[in-house]
Amino acid sequence: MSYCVNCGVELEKACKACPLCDTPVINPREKSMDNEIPAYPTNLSIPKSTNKPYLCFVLSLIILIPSLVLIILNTVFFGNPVLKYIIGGFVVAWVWFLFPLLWKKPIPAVTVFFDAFTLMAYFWFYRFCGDDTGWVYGIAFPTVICLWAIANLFLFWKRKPRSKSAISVAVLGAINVMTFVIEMTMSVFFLKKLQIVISLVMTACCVSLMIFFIVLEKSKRMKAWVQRKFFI
Amino acid sequence: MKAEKKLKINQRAWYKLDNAAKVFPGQNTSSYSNVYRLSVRLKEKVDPELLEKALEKTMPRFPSFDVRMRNGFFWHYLEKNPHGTLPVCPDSANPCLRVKWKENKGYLIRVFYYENKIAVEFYHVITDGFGASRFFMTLIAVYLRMTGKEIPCGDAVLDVDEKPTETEKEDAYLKFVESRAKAKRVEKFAYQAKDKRLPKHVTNVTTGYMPVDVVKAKAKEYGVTITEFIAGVLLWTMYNLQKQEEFNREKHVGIQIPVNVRQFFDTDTLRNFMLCYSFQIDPKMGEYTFPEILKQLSLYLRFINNEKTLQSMMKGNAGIEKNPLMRVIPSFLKDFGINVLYKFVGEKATSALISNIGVIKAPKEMEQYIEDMALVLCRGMVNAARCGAVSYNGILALSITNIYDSTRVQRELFTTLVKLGIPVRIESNRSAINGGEV
Repeated sequence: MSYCVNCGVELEKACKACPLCDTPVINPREKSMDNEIPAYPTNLSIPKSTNKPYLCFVLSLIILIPSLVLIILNTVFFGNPVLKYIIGGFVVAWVWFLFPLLWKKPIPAVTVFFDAFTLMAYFWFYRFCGDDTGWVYGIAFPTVICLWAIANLFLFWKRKPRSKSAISVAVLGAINVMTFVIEMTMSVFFLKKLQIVISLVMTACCVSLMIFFIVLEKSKRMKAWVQRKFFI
Repeated sequence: MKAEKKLKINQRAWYKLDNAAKVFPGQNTSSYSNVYRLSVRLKEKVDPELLEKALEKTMPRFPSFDVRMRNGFFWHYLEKNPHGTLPVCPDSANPCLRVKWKENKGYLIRVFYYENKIAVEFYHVITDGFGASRFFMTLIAVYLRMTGKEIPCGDAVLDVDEKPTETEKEDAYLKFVESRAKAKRVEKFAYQAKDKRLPKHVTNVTTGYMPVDVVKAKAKEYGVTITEFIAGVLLWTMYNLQKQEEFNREKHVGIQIPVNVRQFFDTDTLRNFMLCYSFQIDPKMGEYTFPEILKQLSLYLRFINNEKTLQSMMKGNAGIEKNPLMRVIPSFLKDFGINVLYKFVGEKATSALISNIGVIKAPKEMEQYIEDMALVLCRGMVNAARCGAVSYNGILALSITNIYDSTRVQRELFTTLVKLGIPVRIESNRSAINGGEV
């Protein structure tokens, strides 16, 4: 029998290290422990996860039924133009949330591409129906394309494991860039000139938060303090 | 068994869930079920075929265990399982996995074997520690008989040729609720020894084996019982862990102790009949010493451990079940409500849980074939320590289930016991869940 020199507990014969403190077991008088049977088997039993395609099918039905009812109501009784946009919204929601369930392991870049493509198609649908005052090409398309580009850049950067602070800095940076793009496109569309005001305020907030996270990443003491004060 | 399937609905036995069991289906999630495991280490390797035969012979003696879960419109209920014999499976390194109604042929108990170990996992809906120990010891006795040993009936080993009595299947809560007063529970959110979580379905189980007589002598030194002593050590552990974290605003440190209440009420039910005591200390009141914690805990438990207080606690629980408004709410809504409530409040008022099912008394003839026994509880949702204790053949096994990667809770608990002069032998699944590396 061996005892942990650190914890003082007796260890089972098959133990190579103390399960409480990881101190290695070195007992020259004890014979080889390789033939000893450990207290627990080595295999883990992990239950199968949810059947995603089935879940997708059920949720699709739930979306499909009200959509069909809306189409029938729209064509037979009301002819309300707003209803077709609600149905379009359902299609976008399906591609965004349910389509990834059909994949065994969704590839983020591909799902992001489909998300951006559907969103642009949805906005183009407005233009196709004649409800566009120029905002589809003026605001919606540049915003979506910019968002798609940022998402791809983020995914490319995130291929390697990154710390929480680094991710926070990247997200804040992305939010800041998006604010600029939205304000620029909107000012050009509505005011017919380039005007940047809100984005600068946003930049001040984002940059100060980014500096906070960068300092947090570097300083171990500050990290420990924040962890203690703001744990949830 | 096929004939069983052809039974008409009016011919199939069914049971309403007892008062304690009513919350468990609602607590179920994709990674959590209220499951616990009794395991025994025999002196020779287990024969799975014989174990399956022993199980087949034991099951009819326990009709309230031979059931599957069914969904009623207002409540869940248990129904005689028509799907044949309960399968015996090889064990895995992560015990007390979540339960799904349709898995495991619908059975709410699971039987495992590994080398010379036999383990049975019980979903809390069907029974508590007392009923589980009866079933388990009877199964072990039948198995040993099949291997050629002579084991008589008596104590925890029931006679499988005997017919089950009606009282064994009764809901004892409703039978003994007489009080007009309802006990109110006021508990504050307690400290949680949080850390990096282990992956879903994986738990760290560490069991410490110690001699009962040494623990008893130590408990006697402090003037407390063994349960009070272990609970005190656990509370002291959690209290110290919070102190080490140096929080500015220290939280209450709480412990939950499920207790078998059959000692106060005359029933031999094999279904749930336990109540949970909760005890908290407030570190803001000042520094506590170990003897102080033990004394306060012991006095509190002795104060509430009387028939009248227990009846009022039962009345409080039964009152919810009997509330006309609660009764008419559809079961899926009840489940949703319980799930949300349990997720956000359930475990927050306790830092740890300790369930001691006490000394398992079995015929003397069995002792020579059994090395030790252990009780393992399921993972908590936020609690870092869910402890199960059982004593058999002079050995007390204290298991601690932790959902966090760090071993500081286990280490603090067992080193405290060692410092108090109690020799502890440790075994853990840590190496297995870490892929062979500790």
